[in-house]
Amino acid sequence: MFDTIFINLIDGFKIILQVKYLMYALFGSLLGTIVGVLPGIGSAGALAMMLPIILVLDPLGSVFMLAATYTGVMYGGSTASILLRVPGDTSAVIACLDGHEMAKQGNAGAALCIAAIGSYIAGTIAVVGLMILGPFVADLALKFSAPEYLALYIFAVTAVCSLVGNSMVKALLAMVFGLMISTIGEDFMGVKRFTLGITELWDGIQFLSVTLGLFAISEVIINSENILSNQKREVLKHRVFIKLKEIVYSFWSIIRGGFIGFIIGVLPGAGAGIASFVSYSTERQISKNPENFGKGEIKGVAGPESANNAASAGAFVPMLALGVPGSATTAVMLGAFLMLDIQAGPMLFIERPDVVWGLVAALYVGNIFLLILNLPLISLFVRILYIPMAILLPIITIICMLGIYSSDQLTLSLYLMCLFGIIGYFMRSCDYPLAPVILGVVLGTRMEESFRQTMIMNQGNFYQILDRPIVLIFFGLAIVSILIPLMFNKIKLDASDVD
Amino acid sequence: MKLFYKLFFSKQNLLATIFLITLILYFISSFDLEKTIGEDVVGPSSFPILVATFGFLLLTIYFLKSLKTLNENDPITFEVIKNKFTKMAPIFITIVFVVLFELIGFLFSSFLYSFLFILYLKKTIKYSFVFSAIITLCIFIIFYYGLNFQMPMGELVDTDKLFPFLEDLKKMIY
Repeated sequence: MFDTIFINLIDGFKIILQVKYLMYALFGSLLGTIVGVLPGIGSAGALAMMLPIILVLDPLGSVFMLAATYTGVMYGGSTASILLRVPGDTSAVIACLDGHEMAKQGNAGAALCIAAIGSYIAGTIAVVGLMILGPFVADLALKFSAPEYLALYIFAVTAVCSLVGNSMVKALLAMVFGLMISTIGEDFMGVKRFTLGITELWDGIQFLSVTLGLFAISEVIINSENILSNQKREVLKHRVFIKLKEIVYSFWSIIRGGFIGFIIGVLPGAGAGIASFVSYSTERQISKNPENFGKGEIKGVAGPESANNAASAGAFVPMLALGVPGSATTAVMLGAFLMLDIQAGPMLFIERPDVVWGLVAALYVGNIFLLILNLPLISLFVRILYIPMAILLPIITIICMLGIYSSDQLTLSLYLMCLFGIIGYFMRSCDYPLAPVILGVVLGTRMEESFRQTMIMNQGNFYQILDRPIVLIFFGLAIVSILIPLMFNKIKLDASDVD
Repeated sequence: MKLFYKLFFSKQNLLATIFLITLILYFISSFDLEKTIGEDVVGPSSFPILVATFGFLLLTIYFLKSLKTLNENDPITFEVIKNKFTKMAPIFITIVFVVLFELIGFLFSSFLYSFLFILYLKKTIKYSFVFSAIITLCIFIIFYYGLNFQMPMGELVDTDKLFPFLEDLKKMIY
């Protein structure tokens, strides 16, 4: 089996290593990184923007360029999160926590470097996984039905809420708030809920209005407050590169992130966002110093960043092997395949091995380009932090507004961004974590869908899902993820009592 | 009464109280939704009710926990509220920007917004003017020409008619 894979991969490299295709991959990586930095476009949007361009290329060149763009966007998304606390995509939200803290401490370069290195290593792990485990994992993913997804979402929610912020109750309350937001609009049966008679709310509240409001706009308010209260912003001399010992220290986080990301990426609908959340909670759970998370812990950047890149490669497994797009991005990719007259599915491996293995090789090459492009660019990106705040703050707001407006052309979404900015500001003043709100918004709709489908499958008997082994594993993990931090806090309290 | 006030209207708990009120309204509204449709066993109201119930449970734990630290709670006063809202001037400037965004178009609204914002941060008029113009133009060029974004050109003041070359240039590029 390995011989065949190796021969196929060599063939794939023979194709991608032609100068023409290398140029396409380079262009895709560069464009993806630039577009990824901007909020509101996202990987699906970036690929959609590429569609008119790829129509004039040959099919293989198009596929390579799309693959390279995809990996570029996944990396670029974290740049704005780390530097400005402006997450443009779900998968970039978690980078705001420790990545932005690192930037505040003058370690922006190190954060960006570890994101680039992690993305490269995890991306490579995922591509190897795609090659070897692709067909097997795709089979396993098919065993996931509504109850398994429900259990996965419950695990993701509990794992994150138990670890983000200082109080688990506050984190869970924030998550409930996110879930409430997710129920606004039409449900999957077409019933309109909590729309207050506003037609624009039928599609629900846009994810970007919530995320950019909570994170970016609240940051703008807090920073202007600091400027006006004459709190001088410390202009730190930012370290542009990372130390070798920091790479060694984060190495296993990157590897774990790569595996977590790949497995979650393979599950249709789970996506890079969940992968980064789960990776973050895993890293904090097993860390010797969990109290450092949220305060600029490099592993809090390395793990999730690796996971989201690996998830983007993992998402290719169901798309290539089954013709099932697992995310909006792979759906656009599948659309592009159709435009290019390439039929994804089990026969693709037999009929068009050049596409499959060329794509695998393109992902390898895309990852290398990302590393080569991004390491020198880091010194340029870090310079953003030297722009005076009085100029940077209106730029952030205007870019956020354009990002939101471009996705639905609704002024209501902009008003909602302002509203969530106010909410985010008060939440931060009262020490409520913001990430669980986003998790609630992202998972709410899927969680509800899985819940209702599970109830339909079991004719109203919820307990029947406990007969499923995968469900039991996830429920077990969810309980463990709640208990471990509680036990850890108890041990810490006892220790302080003894002192 | 004093205990009630301290519990629900202290600086630390005010947000939780507002959330409690929102949750009650959400919970009541979810009963107005249709119960079940077709083969759907639990119906569209089930998940919101579940979420609200979980929320109530968490809020109960939260308020019970905060009973322990009740004496440390600072009462909320009119001064505190006023102070908080004064600090939120940037958001009010942003709301003005949103109102004007479609009315006078991106170019003018963005310039006005940056100008007011920089001025609010105690910079000189000249400084605000120059940097607002630079910010607006740079963002416009990158997004409108570079990324082919749709931008409002204005209903009251039509930027397209005022500066027809903007659209022509875009047509030339794309």
